[in-house]
Amino acid sequence: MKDVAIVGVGIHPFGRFDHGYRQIGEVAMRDCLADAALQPEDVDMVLVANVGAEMAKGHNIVNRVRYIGKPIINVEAACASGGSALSLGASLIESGAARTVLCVGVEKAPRGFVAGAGFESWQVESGLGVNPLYFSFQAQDLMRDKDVTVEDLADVAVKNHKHAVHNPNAMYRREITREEVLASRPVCDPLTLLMLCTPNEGAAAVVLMHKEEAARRGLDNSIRISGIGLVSRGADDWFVPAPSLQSDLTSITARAAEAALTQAGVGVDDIDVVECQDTDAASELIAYRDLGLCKKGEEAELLRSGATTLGGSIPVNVSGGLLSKGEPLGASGLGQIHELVTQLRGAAGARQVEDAKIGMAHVMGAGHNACVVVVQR
Amino acid sequence: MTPTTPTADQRYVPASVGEITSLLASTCDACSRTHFPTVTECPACGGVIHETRLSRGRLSALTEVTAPPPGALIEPPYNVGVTDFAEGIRVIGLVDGDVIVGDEIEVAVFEYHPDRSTFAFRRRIS
Repeated sequence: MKDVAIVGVGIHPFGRFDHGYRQIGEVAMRDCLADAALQPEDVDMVLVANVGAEMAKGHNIVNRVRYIGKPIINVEAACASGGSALSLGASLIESGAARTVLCVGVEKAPRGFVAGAGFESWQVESGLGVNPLYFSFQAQDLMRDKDVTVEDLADVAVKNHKHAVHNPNAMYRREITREEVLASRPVCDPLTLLMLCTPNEGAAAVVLMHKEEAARRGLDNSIRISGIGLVSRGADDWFVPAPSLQSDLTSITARAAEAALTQAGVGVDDIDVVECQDTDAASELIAYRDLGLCKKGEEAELLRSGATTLGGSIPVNVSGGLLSKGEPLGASGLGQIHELVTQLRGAAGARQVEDAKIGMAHVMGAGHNACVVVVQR
Repeated sequence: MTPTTPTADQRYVPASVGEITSLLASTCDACSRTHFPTVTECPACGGVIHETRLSRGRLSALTEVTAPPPGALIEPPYNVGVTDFAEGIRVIGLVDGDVIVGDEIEVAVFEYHPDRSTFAFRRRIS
């Protein structure tokens, strides 16, 4: 993918707020357009990623800003909604169907466990319809088959919270200790409360433009989306809400990463900074392996080496990740792109990855969706 | 193929509460994958399937749920586990009684609410 430039990004902080999803989305949309120095009517199309709001949510947000009269399309793919909107937007630009596409991700999730993740009624009624249960089984598999301890899981949360201290848009901006993580309320063994992300509220926006259109408008087109891998469940993948899994599993994330890297024409060793789906601490370690940052069995070693901490060779979740930012489902994927663009611009302040040129973003979600995006300058 | 009419929500062979049962699954004639719950044709390869019954396995993961999930009729705390069956499939389900990871498992009918039963995994006694 050679033609799609990111000419602006915007965000509404992730957390808990008194105002509704429309205002939350509006803030990110205005922030994004201002960042790109564009007017609302400059966009050809708006794609709005959201999971739980209501019908015509995107329209309800955009109409607060301007009656643009252009197509507004709502996109839903669980936790991968933002990646899906971005993929669709980039394809429209590559195909020539649009020159400028605004992608907005927004969520105002209720407190507590995510409801409606696609479980069947028999699973819901008998108590099987709760995501952390499935995260805990992945964690137990990881700890049984690999050199991973519960302290490693705690240290993922410690690392990401340490990063989040420097991110003004994160929900939790306090350093925590391994002891605190281990002593926090048990949710599903081995996962404790601080090893799990909080479904919350927030928005992020990204404006995509054909590089030539950007040049014509005198906008900086140096940051490009070079590869996107968007995939759904294969025969031997497993994630929520499936009630069973094959004994020999494949990885949906690995396929998405391979597709994105191939399209971008770069190797995983070329990546400078990664934002991944750390829904829980074990998921981040699994993502190390599935994204190709390490070999199978070396997940804990990579964490312990400090490579994935800010200052290491391949920093992961320098924004604080979902563990610190919280996860506004529709917004999380575009929030990652906001972070990567900020990093590639060298504008990330105390959490800046030195000389970051290529970034990788990863989301996965219910239904089984995964999206990996490569952004570079 | 002619689609078979799915049996409404039948996930195990009907039996009384507390009795041993088997999970109803589908195995593909072409690729040999087993799927639970049953399917009308193999979602992995499109192959024709036949019925398989899963009755004995080994517990490979176990956890406790302490907070009520949205929409659940079961009262926490309760245990959930993963049972690995020799047919190449692992199934997530409620756990009945004292079981530890590694135990041989049988499937039984379990009443978790006055109006609701489902399958559950318990330590094999038979």
